[in-house]
Amino acid sequence: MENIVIKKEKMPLKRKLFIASIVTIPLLSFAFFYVYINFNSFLLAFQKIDVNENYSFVGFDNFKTFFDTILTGSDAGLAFTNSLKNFWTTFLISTPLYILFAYYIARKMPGERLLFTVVMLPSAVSTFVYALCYKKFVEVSLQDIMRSMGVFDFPQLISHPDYCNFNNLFFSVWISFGSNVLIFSNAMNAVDKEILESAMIDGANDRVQFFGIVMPLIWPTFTTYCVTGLTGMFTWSGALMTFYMYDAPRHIWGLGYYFTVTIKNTGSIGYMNYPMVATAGLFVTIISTPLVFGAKWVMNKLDKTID
Amino acid sequence: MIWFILFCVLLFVAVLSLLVLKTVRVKNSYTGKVSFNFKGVHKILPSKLLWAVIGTFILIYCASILLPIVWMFLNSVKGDIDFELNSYGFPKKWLFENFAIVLQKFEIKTGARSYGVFDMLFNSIIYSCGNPFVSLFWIYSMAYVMSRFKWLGGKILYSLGVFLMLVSITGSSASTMIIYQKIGLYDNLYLNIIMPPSTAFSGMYFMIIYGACKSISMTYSEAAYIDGANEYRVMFTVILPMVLPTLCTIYVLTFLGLWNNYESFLVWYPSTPNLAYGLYRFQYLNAGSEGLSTPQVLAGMFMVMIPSVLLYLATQKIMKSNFVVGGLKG
Repeated sequence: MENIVIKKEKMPLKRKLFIASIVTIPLLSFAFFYVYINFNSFLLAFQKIDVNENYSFVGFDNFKTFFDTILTGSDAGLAFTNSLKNFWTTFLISTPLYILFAYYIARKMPGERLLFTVVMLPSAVSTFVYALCYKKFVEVSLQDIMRSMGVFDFPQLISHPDYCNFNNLFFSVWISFGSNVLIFSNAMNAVDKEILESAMIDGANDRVQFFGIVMPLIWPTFTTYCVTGLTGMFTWSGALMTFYMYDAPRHIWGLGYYFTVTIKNTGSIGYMNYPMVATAGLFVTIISTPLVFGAKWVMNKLDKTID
Repeated sequence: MIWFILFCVLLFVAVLSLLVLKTVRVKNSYTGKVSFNFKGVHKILPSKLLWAVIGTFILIYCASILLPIVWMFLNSVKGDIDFELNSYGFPKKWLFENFAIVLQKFEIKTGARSYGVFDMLFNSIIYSCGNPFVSLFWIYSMAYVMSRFKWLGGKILYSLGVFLMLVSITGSSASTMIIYQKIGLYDNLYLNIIMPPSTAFSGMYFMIIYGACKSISMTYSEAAYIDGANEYRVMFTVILPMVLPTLCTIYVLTFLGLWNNYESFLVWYPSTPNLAYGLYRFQYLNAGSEGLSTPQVLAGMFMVMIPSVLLYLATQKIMKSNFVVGGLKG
């Protein structure tokens, strides 16, 4: 038998030059603003900066200090554990609600158009405008309303040390529905209506339709949501910056907030804290990467089980 | 409290009635006449109760989202004393001049310069229109060459892009700050706007545009090549118009985010405030000292949100149809 050799078509020089002209600038940008900056951040995690802005290598000393802060519950360590706790609290409360709201929209229940318009409003109006309104409302009007109802010792939710974390969690969940509901409802709308109709004719109730048809079909969307959401697990800070600027109570700081407050202090004294930001960041990157890949693997396994 | 409970009960009854009516509604396909068949309604009622509870909860949530905006508007047209004495009622006198006062008086001092409303508005427009334009130009360009041509580099870049999406590198902001200060990018808004994104071949938006470019048949490009079009012409006049709806959706979403962005200005461009940062800073640092009362600050906030809300309402339908992430099975 004659062997047929398929020769690979060679790309013309003109096209090669065209591709090069397009990719050169983005690749240079990537090399400098991503690779170099992150490499420099990696080095910074093993360095110390003194008052005169001199850099010196200190081995793993920064990591030792960081672990000490986790154990003693102070500074970066406290912010790290706060982020972790608060992320899971909001994630576990809000995710079922996003899916429920999205399903309500997709099923075209009463008021679904209003809901669709309203959930996106905080993103359009701005979370910060909402936060400031909320702040004024809680500080002034809510107190007035409570007094008119005979409650005279209602706490100031934003400034009271016992309630400020709850306030941050509540506000973050309340405001977060926008694009998350949009993603799930669009995915549910894309489910073939004929599949649901035939299931209904076969006597499937709402529960069976939801858990047996809709959820398995939108599983790739749910996986993407979970995997991308998990990347923020260790830095979650909620709306601390919006509520308090740089003066949030120390015991509710999240790691993201800690990073922002620290890098905002430029100049010799401020620079001295920069290595701790790089150290905490490197530690978070090292532990979050296998977790994210692990979560993706688990979600894909679950997907096969559902099949 | 009693009023709130009464409101919830009424809402529950309304939602339940709508759900039942939707089920018992019968439309005659020949005459188009609508009638209601209440026979056996007691059987479907229990299954509707749970949906009615969920619907009530959802509508209360909607009310809670709308309430701050209504509250902000009502208080933005109040006088100072009216706000102190009556912070959750209707204004005794509607002071629409609060909006004019904000336009005249609202200003932020950064270093030696002071920025008025129109300076901040200019920065907001330049930042929220320019930044997504530049970013999308590079993201589209990369998506185009990676999806339309078969070359090894394209495959490597795609895999690298996916990897970068999953590996979230944290804490590089300190390093970024040091380097930006050294090369003059820190506190330089306009230079930052024209810079290409650091990862133009990664991220959710890249993946969406990549998918849109890949889904277009190669015959369009081939026909254009036969007609003598060069590579740039095919890229910008043949394929670009076809992916324009997707690009527009992403542009609007990015615009909304950037219009309301104050955090980047707080950390990276503190000397060139936009409206959102101006209001934020004013609220925390200058309130009371520059002659603007709380109702006037609320009037300023109300004005800032108008463009983004109008844009959102105008583009709502596009967003509903063009924003799918992760896909479906099967």
